[in-house]
Amino acid sequence: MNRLTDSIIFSFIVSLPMVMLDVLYHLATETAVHINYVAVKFTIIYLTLFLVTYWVGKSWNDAVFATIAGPVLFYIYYVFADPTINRDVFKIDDSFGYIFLHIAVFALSYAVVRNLIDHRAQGQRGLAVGKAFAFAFAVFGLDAAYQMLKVQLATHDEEIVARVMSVDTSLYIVLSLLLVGFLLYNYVSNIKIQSAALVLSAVLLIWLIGMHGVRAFVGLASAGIPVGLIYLYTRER
Amino acid sequence: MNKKLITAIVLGIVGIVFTFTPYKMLTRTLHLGLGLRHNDHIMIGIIALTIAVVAVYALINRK
Repeated sequence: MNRLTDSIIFSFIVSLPMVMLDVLYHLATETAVHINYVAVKFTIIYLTLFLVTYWVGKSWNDAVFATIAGPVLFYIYYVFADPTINRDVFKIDDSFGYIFLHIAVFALSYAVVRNLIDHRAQGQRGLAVGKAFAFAFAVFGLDAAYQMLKVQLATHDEEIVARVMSVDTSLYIVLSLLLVGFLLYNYVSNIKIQSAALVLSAVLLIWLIGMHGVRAFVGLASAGIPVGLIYLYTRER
Repeated sequence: MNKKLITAIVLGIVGIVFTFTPYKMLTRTLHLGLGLRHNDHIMIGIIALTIAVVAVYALINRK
């Protein structure tokens, strides 16, 4: 795999789980998950990580720089942009202290992917944990993007969109995907069967937990994209 | 001249102008509004700043 593709996929499987870990924290603490800010956050974090990885590399120093620069640049956006959601009704993560949360979740996501998938520091079982982490949070992220975009396009009301996600449903999805991901990555060695089982089980879980057929159908893409990218990323390592 | 140095200087200036200049000054005095909203200017500015900051980091870490 060339450096460009490697950087694109690495940045995706680090930054999407980072953003979704942050989303889970916001849901748990009743801070609004606002689609505009999530999109801006993902764009800035992804761009920072991609450029650092592509231009410089993935060393310890690069990881520290990327994990600090991304959230700080995002905070600058928060400070200078006009609010797009009613701050009297919704609490959002625009205070200075949230920089540290963003750095922490970014560092966690980076460390998991870098140590468990790239370096295989904990052996085969660790690799399965790393892949399951990237898979579960990437599927959760793409599924959440579908849900929020659907409501945004239908209503054009960001206050309704901010209420779309709930912590209990999200936790059910993430934890069940983590479990299924670990079991399949650890115990199924045939790639075709493993990939098919991952996608189908993700679709089934989204359908059972979300109780929505179209959302489950979109889950074919929400699960297929991460499975394909993780396979491409780990194939030659 | 190094491409990353040029990128850092040009996008750094663009980023600073679009992010930190007040909306009225950007649109009426500098005529750089491009018909966009304030938040779009900030987004353009932050993306330019991100590229510039990483370009500077890449220059410092040149191997």
